[in-house]
Formats: sequence, C-alpha cells, structure tokens
Amino acid sequence: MIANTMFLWALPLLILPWLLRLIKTQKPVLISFSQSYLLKKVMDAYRPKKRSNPWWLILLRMLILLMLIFLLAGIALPQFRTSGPISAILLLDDSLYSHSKVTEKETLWTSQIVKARERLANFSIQTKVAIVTSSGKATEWLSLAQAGLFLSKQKAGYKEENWSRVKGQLQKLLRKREHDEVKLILLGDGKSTQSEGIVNCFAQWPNHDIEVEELDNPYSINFSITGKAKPSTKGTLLELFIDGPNQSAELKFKVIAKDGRNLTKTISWNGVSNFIQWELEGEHWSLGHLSLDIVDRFDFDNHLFFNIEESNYQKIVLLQHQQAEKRLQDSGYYLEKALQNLAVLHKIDFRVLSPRSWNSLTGGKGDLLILHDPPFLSQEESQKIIQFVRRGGKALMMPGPLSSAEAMSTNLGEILPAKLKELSRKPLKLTLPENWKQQLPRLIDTPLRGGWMFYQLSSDTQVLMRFEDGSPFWMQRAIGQGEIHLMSSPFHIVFSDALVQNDLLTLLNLITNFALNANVNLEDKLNAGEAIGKKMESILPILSLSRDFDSSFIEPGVYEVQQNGKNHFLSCNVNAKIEMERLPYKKNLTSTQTVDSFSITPKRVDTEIAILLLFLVLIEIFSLHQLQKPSLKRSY
Amino acid sequence: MREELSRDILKLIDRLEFLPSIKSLKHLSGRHFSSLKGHSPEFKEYRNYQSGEDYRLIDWKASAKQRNPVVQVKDHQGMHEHWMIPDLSGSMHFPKDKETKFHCQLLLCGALIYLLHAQGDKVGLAMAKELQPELVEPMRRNESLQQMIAMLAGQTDKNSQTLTQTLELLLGNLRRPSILWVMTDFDQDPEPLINILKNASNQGHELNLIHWMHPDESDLPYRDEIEFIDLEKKIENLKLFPEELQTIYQNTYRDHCLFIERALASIQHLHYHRIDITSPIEAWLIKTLRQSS
Repeated sequence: MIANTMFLWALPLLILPWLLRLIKTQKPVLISFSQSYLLKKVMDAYRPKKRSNPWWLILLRMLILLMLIFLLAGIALPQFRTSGPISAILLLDDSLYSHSKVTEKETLWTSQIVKARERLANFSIQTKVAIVTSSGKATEWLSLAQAGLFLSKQKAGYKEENWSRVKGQLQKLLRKREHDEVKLILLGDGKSTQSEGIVNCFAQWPNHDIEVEELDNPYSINFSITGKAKPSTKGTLLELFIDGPNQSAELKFKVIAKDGRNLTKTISWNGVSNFIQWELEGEHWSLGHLSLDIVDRFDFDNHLFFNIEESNYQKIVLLQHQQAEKRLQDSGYYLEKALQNLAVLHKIDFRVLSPRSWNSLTGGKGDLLILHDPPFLSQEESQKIIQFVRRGGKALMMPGPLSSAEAMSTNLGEILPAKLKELSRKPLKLTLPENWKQQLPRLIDTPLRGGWMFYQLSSDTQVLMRFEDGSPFWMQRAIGQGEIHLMSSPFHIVFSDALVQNDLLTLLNLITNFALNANVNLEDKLNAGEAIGKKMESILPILSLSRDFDSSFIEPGVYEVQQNGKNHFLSCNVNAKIEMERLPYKKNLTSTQTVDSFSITPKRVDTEIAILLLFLVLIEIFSLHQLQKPSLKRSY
Repeated sequence: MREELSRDILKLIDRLEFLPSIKSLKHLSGRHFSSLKGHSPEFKEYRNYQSGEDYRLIDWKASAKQRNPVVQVKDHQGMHEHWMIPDLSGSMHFPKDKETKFHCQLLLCGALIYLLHAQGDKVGLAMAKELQPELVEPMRRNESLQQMIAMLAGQTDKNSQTLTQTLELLLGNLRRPSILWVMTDFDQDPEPLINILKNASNQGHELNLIHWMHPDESDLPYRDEIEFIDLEKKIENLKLFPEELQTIYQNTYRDHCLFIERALASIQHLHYHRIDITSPIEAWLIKTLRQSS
C-alpha cells in the first residue's frame, strides 16, 4: 500500500548518483615524464590498500535514495503469511433464524451449507476442520472429506441458541490446536455470534492467530421475549433506540417469528438519535429475529447502533449491534498499541503478560503494571500483584466487563483504593461543550457505558479525577513503597473510535507519566470530562482543518495536518466491503468503502529524513574520499 | 632548428668571451694520474705545496733541495684530449614544450667545445646511434666545432642506445688518458653507469659528470589524476593521483640523488656537477670556472 504516490515521481532521481559520477569523472591529464623509473619504484614499494569499488558505492547510494523515496511514499510491504497447515472452525447457525429465506428459494441454512462447502474447497488438503453449531453441538477435528460429508448430511435444527455451550466447545477445540493458525468462519448469524462474545472467548488463546470471517448479513439480531405483554399493547412491543451518523437514510426493519411469519417497518433516518416503538401484532413473538436493511448513499456499517429494549417485559435487555460489539473486541488491541506507543515515547520497556505468564511478574520499584479488564484473579495471582505493589511497583487497574468486582474486592481488597461492587448501570455524563455533542455522540456516551462499578473509597485513597457528578474516575492509594491506581472507566467500549483512540492516547500518556512520577502538572479540579475535553481541543482543530470529519464517509489516504505548529500525518484506513454486495440485504448499497479507523501520528519524517540525509552526506563524503585516492591500476 | 641551436650556443659563447679566467679552464680538469706509460705531461715549474693537497704530488727530491715541500707544475697545454659524451636518451626531452634538458646539454656542450678549443685542447664527441658508436675524433681545428654542434643538434630523436653502452664502446677505443665529459639525467638505475665510470677512472681517465635535473622531477608538483608517459617508452603508462605519493616520491628522489653522490664520491678523478636546467647555464659555467681558478 502506498500512502503518498506523489513521491514515486522522485524515482527517476535514482540515477542521480550515476550522473554525478559521470560528471565528476575527469579524464586524467597526460604528462610525459622522465623519472618514470623512480615513480614505478615508489608505486611498487608503497601500493596502498585496495580501495572499495566505486560501483558498489554508487549502488549503495542508489539504494539509500530508493529507501528514502519509499519512506516518503509510505510504502507498506505486504505481510506474507506462512503457509502452514490451517485449522478452520465453521460456526453454523442452526437456530430459528436459519429457517428464514435469503432469496425466494434459498433459506439461510442452505445458503450456509453452500458457502461452507465453497470454503472447504479452497482449503489445502492438510486443513483440519471442526464444525460448531449455534446450539452448541460440535464435531471433532475432521479431515476435509469428513467435513464435506458432515455438511451434506447435516440438517437445520431450529434449536435454541446456546452461546455459552458454543464457547465451551470452541475452547475445547482450540486447546487441541494450540500452536496452529486457526480460522474462525462465522457462517451463521454473524451479529448474534458477535454480540454473544464468541470472538472474545478466543482472547485467552494469545498464541493463536485467529482469523474471523463473517459471511452473513450483520444487520440482524435475535431476540427472545418471555413473560406477559403489557395490558396496553395488543401484541409485543419492541422499543428501538437508534443512534447513527448524521446522514439521511431509509431504514427497513424486518422481524421473523419462529413459525416464519414476518413483519416489516420502514422509518426515515434523519441523523438524529431516535427512540421508536414497534408493536408486533399477534401472538407468538416471544422468539424472533430482527434484521435491518439500509437504503442510503453511505455505508452505515461502522456508525449505526440500535438497541432493542423490549418494554413489554420486566427484564430490560440491552442488546448491542454487532459493530459496537466489535469495538469491544478491538479494545484490547488498541490499548496495547497505545501503551506500546507510550512505552516508546517514554523509552521504557513494555510487555504484555499473557494469562500463562503470570509467574514472570517479579518487578518492583519503578515498574508500572497495567491491568486492563483483568478476568477473574485467583488468590495466587492477586498475591503476586500485592507483592509487586508492596515492593515499590505501581499498578494501574482499569476494570471492565470481564473483571469480576467481587473477586477483585475479595482478593485485592487490602490494596485497592476502593471496594468494588457491581450495581445497576448508572448513567454518568461528561461535560463537553454543546457544539461537540453532535460531533462526538459516542464519546459522551463513554462513561455511561463504563459506569458499572461502585466505589467505596478507603480512608487513605486520593481521588485524582472525578466525573462531573462527583463519581471518582481516577483513584490513587499508597501501599508500602508502591502505589495502586484505579480507573473507574474501563476504557474499552469505544476504543475503536478514532477520536477516542487519540484521546485515550493522550490521557494514557498523562496517566502513565503521573504513575511513573514524571513531571506532570495535574490540575486539582480537573475532572475526567474536562481532561478529555482539553485533549480534544488539540485534536479537533486538526480535523476541521483537513477534512469534514463529522461526515461518516472519509476518503482513504494520508492527510498532512498541523497541530501546534508541528506536522502530523493523519492516516485513514479503509475497509472495502465487497463481499457485502453479494448479500441480498446489501444489494442497494452503492458505496463500497467505509472508514474503518484513522489515527494521527506525528510526522516523524522530519527527523528520519534528516538522519537519512546525514547518512547520505557521510556516504558521499566517504565515497568522494575514496574516489580521490589514486587508482593504482595500470592502464593497459 | 639546427640553426637556432647554433645561434643559442654562439650567443652563450659570446658572453663567455669576456671572461678573464677562460684559460684557467685547464684547472677545471684537475690533476690526473695516468696509468698509461709514456704519456706524461711536460714539466713547467715548481710551486709550493699547499696544505690539503695530495702528498703524492710532492716532488721529494726538489723539496729536499729547496727545504720546502714543492709540487711540480706541468704544462697541460696541448696535451689533453677531451671527449664529450652527451646523454641522448628520451628522458632528456623533459619537460615537454619547454626548454628541455637536451637543449641545455647542447648549449653546454657547445660552450665547452669552444672554450676547450680556445685553450688549444683537442675535443672529441662520442654519440651512439643504433648500437654503433659514432665518434668524432678529437681535433683542434676550429671547423670541428661547427661540425660537432651540428651533429649534436641533429640528435633530436630519442636514441635506443644507452649512455652506459656508449661509454663502454668509447673506453674500448681510447688509447691514452683523456678527460671525459659525461652528461646524464640518471633516469635509470644508476649502478651500471657508476660501474663504468669506475672503470674509466681506473683506466686513468679524468671524469667530469654533469647531472641534469629539473625541479619537477624532484618535487612531482602535479594535482588531480595524471597519466604519466614514460619518455623512454620502457615501462607502461602510470595512472595515479600524484598528491597521494608526493612525499614518498620526494624522499625516494632525495635518496636516489644521495646514493649517486655517495657512489660518485668514491671514484677518483671524478668531478660531479648537478645542474638545475631552470637556472641559466652560463651562470653555472662562470661560477664553476671562477671556483676552479
């Protein structure tokens, strides 16, 4: 991938060293000399060392120029994958939804089988395949032929989905392919599998190189309703909260009941968050499937959220759109990346401790341990953390959805700045200027989703940052020679949002600096919202300078922007959604590209180019020196 | 060309005419002790022995009579045969397009032949051409002066015959001790020439060695890449950056000259003169004549 193709025009400059060589080369002056006898004697006695071949020097200079041009052009070499045996897991949807038709003649189930067999045909003969269904049934690792036979015999079961069992089966299968590259192909209801955190369960296998391939329509969701309907409604009432980009579009919702009945509803989306109610007439809507079709000029894929709140029922279930869930899955990656950047910035060592390498946690004074959404911490692991802190280390904890508040409070209670307890969601809002709200709806939403924990502060805890409503955001407690820091925001839900990513980086920078005792002036009364807002101030002008980033559609490429007088590159990565066009739900989509992410990176080219140019000059001087040495080769 | 050279020589000679000490040129040849029998010079007078002179010059019998060490002064007039042996090698044509060593050699030869004729000595010329020595027998006649100068001037082409070989051939033909005027620029290994000079000295000949040199030969004052063409055409061209080798070359050249000086110092009856051709020949000649007088 070439970011700046313009620089490729500089390629003809490669002949520059050769031209310079031609210009510099002068024919020797002819002189008739009488004392050639002595001259020859001198040359025989004092023959200098054989000098380097100037051709090599020219070639070297050309190579350096080429590297320089490639660096400026921002060429990213394609990553070649090793061609080892691949293990693939096919996840089939044999639930109620698989009964629904994708075309007039074809149901989702038959479509899945066809696609699965197509995939198998593309695998190498060594590939081992396992098939898991959404009801939780799984095969062993099969050969390609066995898998093909299984698929031909398998029938749709219209069974209840059992995701916890699916997860268990997947883990069981993965355990046997510990060192393999595993490809997970989600053939069924991609959205459901995403929402149930199927991909997340792979997170505990860090050695696996897992590739997820979704083949189904992502704009659909399963729902289940039990209990009695409200007296005011005739049937089942679906309440939908829709939040999306600032573009107008037509949204078509379709629900399918278990018996195949379906209803459709079309609403016009005008870019404003909306709360709609949809009464499903008739009975037996307790189990159904909701799908969404968008008629628009843009691809809403990354930007539209809809939550279903089934209000005819006591229990409120918040279901998230799969793309939102995908952000969850990406969060660990982005955090790790942000920390890596920070580590480079601060010139400190950074490593990721996998669950298996807990034993290697030996650090102490001066070390910073970041615990991001730690899963259940055992007594032994907690003791290691406590020892780490008591020895003078610093621990920064950011609990999240995978963290168990009770377990942490029990095992880490003696050092935690606050006791944790899971409570009902308490909406917490950050204060941001009014005009930002429209631009950054998801940022404002961040603590709302993150406020799952309640903190009962210990007496010696110091609150460094608070939310606007007074809830602590960043707590610090000195333990022995060390310190423990606790964040109330999990920092994970909106990580894949580019704006928050950048903000996160700056905020993490602040936190890491503080935790590492760097010289940081932390304002006493600055709450988290203000801190984030302050950081956003430095980012927003950049965005408005270069492009209208409020738009959900950004052309891919690298933009050069200025921030505080320094040059930065703003790179936008784009996902081509070609396969989506094949699906019946997406036939009317015209745009084929959406912005997947973008990031702002400082224009390091200045220093890199300076170093390279210096290097070039040194080479040039060296080579000139070499070229001026006498050529003691005789001319025959 | 020939006429021009002759004119140059004549100009030089004209300037030398006014010198009062021309006659003292005979002293330039120094004392010689011939090993050949029956050819001693005639007695003229006695003079006092001077400190530092070879004691063998003392006439002990006469000294005993006079109670004072005296030396016989012999009349060399008309007794000596001089031979001019110029270097005709290609290297003498350095530097190109300027006043070459060869040109200076012609001037000096012409002047010397004239002066020696003027004091009544016989002067011969030994040249070598295509392996055959060409000798102009020593003559007193004035006409031979023009003839020899014309012959010298005609030798503008590079000659394949080396000076050593010419000298060797000449020595084989000489029957009486003579005064040899050997001219060279030492552009080759000096040892063969030094050996033949030793032989000549042992045979009783008196030697005057003129070493021609140009400052560029000692300093190598060139910049950038140079391709040196050997004037002798004996070795292939040398392509190099002289700056790199300048110091080493200068040291080597100095050693080369030192070696020649030391080697020649051990030869009896040899007078060594190094002439820088960038300074006027007549200046050297006048200075040398005055010193010898």
